[in-house]
Amino acid sequence: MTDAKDLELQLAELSRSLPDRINVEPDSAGQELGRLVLTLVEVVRKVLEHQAVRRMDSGTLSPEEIERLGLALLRLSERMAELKAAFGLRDEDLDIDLGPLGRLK
Amino acid sequence: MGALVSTLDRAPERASLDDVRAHDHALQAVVHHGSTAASVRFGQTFASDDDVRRHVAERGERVARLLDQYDGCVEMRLLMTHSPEKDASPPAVSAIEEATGPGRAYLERLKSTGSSERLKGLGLHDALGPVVMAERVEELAPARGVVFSHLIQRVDEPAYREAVAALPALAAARVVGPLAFYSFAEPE
Repeated sequence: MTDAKDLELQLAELSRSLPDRINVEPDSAGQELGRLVLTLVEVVRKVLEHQAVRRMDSGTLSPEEIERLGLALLRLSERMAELKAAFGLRDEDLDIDLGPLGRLK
Repeated sequence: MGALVSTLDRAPERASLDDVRAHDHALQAVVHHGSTAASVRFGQTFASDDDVRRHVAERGERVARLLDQYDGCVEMRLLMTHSPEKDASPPAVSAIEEATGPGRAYLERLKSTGSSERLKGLGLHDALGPVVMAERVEELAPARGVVFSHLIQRVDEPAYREAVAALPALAAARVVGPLAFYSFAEPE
């Protein structure tokens, strides 16, 4: 399996894990759960972005593969922005300590 | 302790670039005179001299403490941009997208942002040695580079410049200063 295909599969899995519809609870517990889930998704998204940039720089991807990967990541980023807005969260709200995984920043 | 004030015919509606330059020019004059200066606020106007005095009296203690703590110090800045040879703005996102595609343009933006974050994480404080008393780092938006602000003793300016020149990683950095305290005028 090529690097690009591998990354695209990981991206597809991550995209599937995002909910299509959200029932945002008014209580803070719902927001806290959303915050935790989105933080975890954000960690994976950042890792994938990092890998994509590294592979683009390594010269092993064709221009078409770079474009496809970039588009997938762009759409994922837009989807994350929508979800953050739905939960009333800002970027800094996702900067929580994930123990061994560390922080986002 | 003294405050720099000037008289206006009327309060300006919004600050212009010329106002910012005039503010900087006044502070530079004080720094060149050899005084310790802090840029505490920009663009404040008061209805009367009494209002100014009241404001200085209310905030004076904190500012006096700051000036006392950093007496004899100046702020130096190191500008590290991704395109130091160009003063022009980077190509607009739409221009990049036109030349490549939105997907590649997104990855290029990520790459550029990553470079800024790496620069920001350099932490020059230790590399430049004890001449640097304090450091603050600010990222230039959007992902243009990083500004390192350093608090140093005024007499250490030549040593600071030597320390910067001795680091190959800073060959492209632009040194600005000495300046009044802009980055150190407020608690972190």
